[in-house]
Amino acid sequence: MNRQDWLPHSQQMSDAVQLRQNVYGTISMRQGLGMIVVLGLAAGFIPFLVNWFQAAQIGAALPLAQLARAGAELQKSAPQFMPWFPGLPSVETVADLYQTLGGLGQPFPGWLAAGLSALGEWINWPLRWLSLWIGYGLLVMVANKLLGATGTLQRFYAATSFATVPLLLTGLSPIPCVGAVFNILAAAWSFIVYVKANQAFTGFSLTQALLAVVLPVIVLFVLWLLVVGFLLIIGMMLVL
Amino acid sequence: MIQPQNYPRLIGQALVLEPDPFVEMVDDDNPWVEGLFLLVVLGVLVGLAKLIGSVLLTNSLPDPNAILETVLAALGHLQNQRGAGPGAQMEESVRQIWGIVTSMLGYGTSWQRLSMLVLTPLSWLLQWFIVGVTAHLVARVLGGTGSLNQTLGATALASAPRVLLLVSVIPFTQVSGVLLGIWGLLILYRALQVTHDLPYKQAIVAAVAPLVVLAVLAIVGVGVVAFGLGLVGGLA
Repeated sequence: MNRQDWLPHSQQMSDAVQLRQNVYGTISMRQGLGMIVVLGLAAGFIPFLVNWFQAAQIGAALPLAQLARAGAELQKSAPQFMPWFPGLPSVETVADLYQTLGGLGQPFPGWLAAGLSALGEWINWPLRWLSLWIGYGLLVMVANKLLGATGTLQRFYAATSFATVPLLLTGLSPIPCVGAVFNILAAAWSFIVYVKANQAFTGFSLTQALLAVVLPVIVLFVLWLLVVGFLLIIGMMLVL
Repeated sequence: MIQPQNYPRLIGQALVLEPDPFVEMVDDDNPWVEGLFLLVVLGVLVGLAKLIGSVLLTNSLPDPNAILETVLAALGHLQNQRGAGPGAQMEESVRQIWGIVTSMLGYGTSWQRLSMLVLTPLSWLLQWFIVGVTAHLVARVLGGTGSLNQTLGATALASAPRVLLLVSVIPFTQVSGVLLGIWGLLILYRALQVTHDLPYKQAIVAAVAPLVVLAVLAIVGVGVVAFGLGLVGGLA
């Protein structure tokens, strides 16, 4: 198994994020798949270390450690906003619950439970990226076909896999303050690369390629509105 | 005869929608047996991974009963603050939901987790059979040329994305059902396109048809269970 079979060259990734149109046709779906897994793991590495360290400090698995931290934060901030919500005596109870859950203890030593849960969360990075790539990609492909595109699924998924390269920046999200900026930058850059990749794949104008990418969002939003509206009407009818 | 050591290659090629693994399956002397064997091997491996993952998960988290009692105590405390009654019905509901959640996650010390080893491949085989037969019938109606034997062999590869479930050996990993479903659907489409030599529109229809059948079966199943529970409740 050659590395080149499963990964594109770093120059191709660099060209893709610089929006060089001719690079999007030079990758195979197999290379795209390999790239997403490797980049997902690379992006999740720093958060993995941070998660492990923070959960090990509390001595619990990551979800419970996060609950305990949230409980502590809530307990600190509760006195500040309690006067605004006098009818809300439950905040401290919730904070207590979170902290109690975080301190219940488990059969494994704390560092091991923390490590295993952080490892699981790390593995989830590429899995989430794959879900987005495959799941949203199918909807965009349907939109492309409706707009008259003719390419194959393999070529489409190969081209759009480059959109995960900017997501590498999300690996810096644990950095206080600027982490959120990196997340926004990564999402925006990834979206732009996705639209350019779709344009290169379909041969559409930029407007058409953009339309195909956002059409699924619009359709899903309208469907969501319809479902929520329908449930609201049913609820009101039941109440009345 | 496809040797098991070739399974990783076949699965890898199917995942990236290459036609070769489907051609290899179709050209085999007994495709449906190959598909059956592939699914059983993959299902048992995934069942084993889930079993190990569930043991590690149970040991990485507190006793599920301790969590449940802590949550119930907090809920009782909240209700007291609001001047409400003890809420026995709510407590019962929480206990039931918690039981379902822990059982689905394989979280707890119950021997039931051993059933994963058998239930995983069995449920996959049942699903494969329904999907394969339905897709074959629709493909033939739409002008497909493949045999049922070939269709079953090729459509077994639609389970290729389930190889991702091997990560269940590590606790706290989550493989999205949407990812498995959509990827499986794409592979099913390619399998039918190659096996039956169908144009893409017909292949899409043949690939989506089994989903409709599975959805109808699921609705009927839920209806039967609900009716049964209602009947039992009425008798009680």
